[in-house]
Amino acid sequence: MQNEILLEMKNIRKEFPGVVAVNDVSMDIRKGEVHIIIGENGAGKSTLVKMMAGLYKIDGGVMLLEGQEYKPANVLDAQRQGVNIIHQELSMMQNRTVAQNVFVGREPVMGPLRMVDNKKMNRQCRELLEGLGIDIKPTTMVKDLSIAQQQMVEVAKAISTENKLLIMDEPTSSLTQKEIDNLFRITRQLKSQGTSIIYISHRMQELMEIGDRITVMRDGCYVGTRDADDIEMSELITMMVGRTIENVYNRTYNEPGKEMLRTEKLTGLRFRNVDIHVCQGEIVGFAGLVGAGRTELVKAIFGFDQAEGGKVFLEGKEINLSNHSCNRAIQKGMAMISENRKTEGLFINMSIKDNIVQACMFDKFPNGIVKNDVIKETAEQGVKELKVATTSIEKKVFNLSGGNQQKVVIAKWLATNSKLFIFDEPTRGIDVGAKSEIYGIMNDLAKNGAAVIMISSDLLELLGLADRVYVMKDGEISGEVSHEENVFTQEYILSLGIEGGKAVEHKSPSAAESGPKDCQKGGNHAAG
Amino acid sequence: MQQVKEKLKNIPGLIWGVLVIILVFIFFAKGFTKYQNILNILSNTAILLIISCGMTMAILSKEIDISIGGVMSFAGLGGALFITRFENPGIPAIILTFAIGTGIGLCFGLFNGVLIGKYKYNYWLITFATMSIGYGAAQVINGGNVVSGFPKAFRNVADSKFLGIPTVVWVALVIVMIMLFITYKTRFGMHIYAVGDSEQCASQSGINVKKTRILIYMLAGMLSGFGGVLLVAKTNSAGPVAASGYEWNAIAATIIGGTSFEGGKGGLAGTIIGALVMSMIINGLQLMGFSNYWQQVYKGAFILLIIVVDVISRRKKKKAALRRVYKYDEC
Repeated sequence: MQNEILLEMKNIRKEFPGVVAVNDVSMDIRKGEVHIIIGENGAGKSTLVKMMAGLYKIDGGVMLLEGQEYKPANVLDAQRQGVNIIHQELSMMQNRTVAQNVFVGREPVMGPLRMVDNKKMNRQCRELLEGLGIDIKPTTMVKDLSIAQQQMVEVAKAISTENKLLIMDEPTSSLTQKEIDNLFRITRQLKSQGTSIIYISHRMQELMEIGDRITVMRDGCYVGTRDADDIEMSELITMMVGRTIENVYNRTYNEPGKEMLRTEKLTGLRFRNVDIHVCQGEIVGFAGLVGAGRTELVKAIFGFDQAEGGKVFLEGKEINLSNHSCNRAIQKGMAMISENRKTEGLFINMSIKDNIVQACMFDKFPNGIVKNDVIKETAEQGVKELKVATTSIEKKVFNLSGGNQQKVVIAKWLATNSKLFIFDEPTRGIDVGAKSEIYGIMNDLAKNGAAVIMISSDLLELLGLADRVYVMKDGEISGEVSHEENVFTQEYILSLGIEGGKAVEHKSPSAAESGPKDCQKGGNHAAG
Repeated sequence: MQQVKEKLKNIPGLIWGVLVIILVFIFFAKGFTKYQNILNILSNTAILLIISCGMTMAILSKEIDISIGGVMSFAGLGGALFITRFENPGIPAIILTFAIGTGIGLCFGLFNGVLIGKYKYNYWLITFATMSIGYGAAQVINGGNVVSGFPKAFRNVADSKFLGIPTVVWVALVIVMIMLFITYKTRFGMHIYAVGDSEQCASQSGINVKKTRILIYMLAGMLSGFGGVLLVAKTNSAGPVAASGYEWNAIAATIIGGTSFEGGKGGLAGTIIGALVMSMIINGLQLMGFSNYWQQVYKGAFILLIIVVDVISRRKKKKAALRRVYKYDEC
């Protein structure tokens, strides 16, 4: 039964405003297999499986479920036909109990008035959770559970119905090792019962552990499918990346200049005792898993979040953290390209022009009166400099593609006189062309003497661009690697991020001991 | 020809809806286009327009200020009690009367602004509470009685003519010009849009969100206070519930004018049209001889019609814009 085809997809296509998310994908899922889909961020994996689960309508192509045309009208319809999804983002009702969440829409009822039978519901829920080895009471409020526990409830909910195909969209991103083991046990159990499973993941080890076949996607397109047994990791990476590191990044390293930013024992809600320094002309990367505290750290440095302790020095001068705000940070020459482009980076209903001038208004209009020609000039310069593809600066930014939106955000900050640029996941959800342009901008900034901080979950990107990479784990800096060291590799940085670097032997101890270089000594201490 | 078509396409659906209504009235409401009637419409719009400026700012910032009617009533009555002490008030006394009303509005606005902007309490509940306080205080200070019979000099501010046009229209014109300048030509004006569009992004762009919100409520309060006194001068009476319903008319004028509850979308220019439409509908229906009750029903129906036409045309445009995007960004 291993080779019978359950779901077949032919020339599937999906468009969103500004991007083609899935382009002409054809693949098949066999009965009773664990099928893994991998690809970089924005490769279209989630979109593809959401179409299978009835969350999105397909814009082109056909799907065949057991030979019949499969066109789910919505999630419920897909569930009725045996296709179920566990979401990447949690979609639970926070103020309802676990049982209410698990049985939503199909609560057991009793009596002529069809009242909800809470007792029966809770009992069924407890049996279900116990069967899965999950130790949670059915009457607990979902908001009182940890994220990992909520994730397990989602799993329970999904497998409480009969499934032919179960889709798990990055289910392990917030789970601990114990829960991952549990999840894998459940997965194998389901597989032995003949359920097909699609599994989306970033974690390479997982692929090898439970996958039967692996499909790689890149930029919305299908790259290929391989048997998990006979594929090398390096081949997978080549398939995912589709390019070698050197030809995209074109980094020109310079001798680091004076110290721009230094923190001493900086502590906040999600990070503690962080000591870092960034020099002029440097691109400093931050690696780590999602939730390691990188974004929270830079937000505190930028004044968006309150820091709880420690010191921050900008060009040798201490910043008063009790009286810090984004406005003051900008006045002092900081700029932050936020991780969350749509909600924090852009004013989505405004024109390109109005977006670009938002951060430099106090500079450009000190007396509070706005001059249209200055706005126009600033915006046109930004659009030209960053090659934003648009017919007019009056266009609303929601009409732009992801890459062009990000360029508008960067243009906003280039219009200020900033000396320290913080890029938080600058290339997330952006097409390859725009990516390399953004790399070019970052390189130019460093070349012209600005200091650049770059947070990224794309390790290749960090390796290709950064002078040095700090690795964060659970809110602390777990390591620092310079591009001149031999251990400036994906494996070493990953190991620092996951296990704090203890489990992996240094490939070249001598190089690691020499350590990263400090800033040029001239000036920084004199200024402080 | 093609160009004319393009230009026609760019006219907001709102204008089409308004044109249809005007046409209906021109044909069916006798005397709708007479000079005297147009002045009548303008003078009925004036006060609504003034307070709608405040409401527009609040809605642009993705919040709302429903305390307006209460503040107007209280400020109006406060001013009324002051001015009735004078038999023959001079200009300073009249200015002081308006200053008292505006000051009362400012206090309410500041209270709203600090609680909502600084301490992040829910804007609905806070302005609902201050609305109630406003109406209540207006009852208390004069034992629930209506004040009437105001000195001529005071009434002249709203109820006489200058160059053949009612003075209340002139006052509204000046205030609307100031507010247009503030919302379109100042940094603060741009910040209102920014805060309404995305508070996080505004904050990260260096905008003081708290200060912006406090200023918005202060301005809205001042406008309602001023409007309250102006209403007294225009109607020659000050009652504790004289201004009730103004908050809803202001919301309607703002939304008809194209400002969206989404925040950061729309503007004062649209609100001017919205306020005029509100008055025109009432005026036209009166001229057509509908009873007071039917007027309410038709007013609602006309507002629905305008909104439906407007929304349909917006959706069409949005779709067209998305199509253009697809053409440029192929995978």
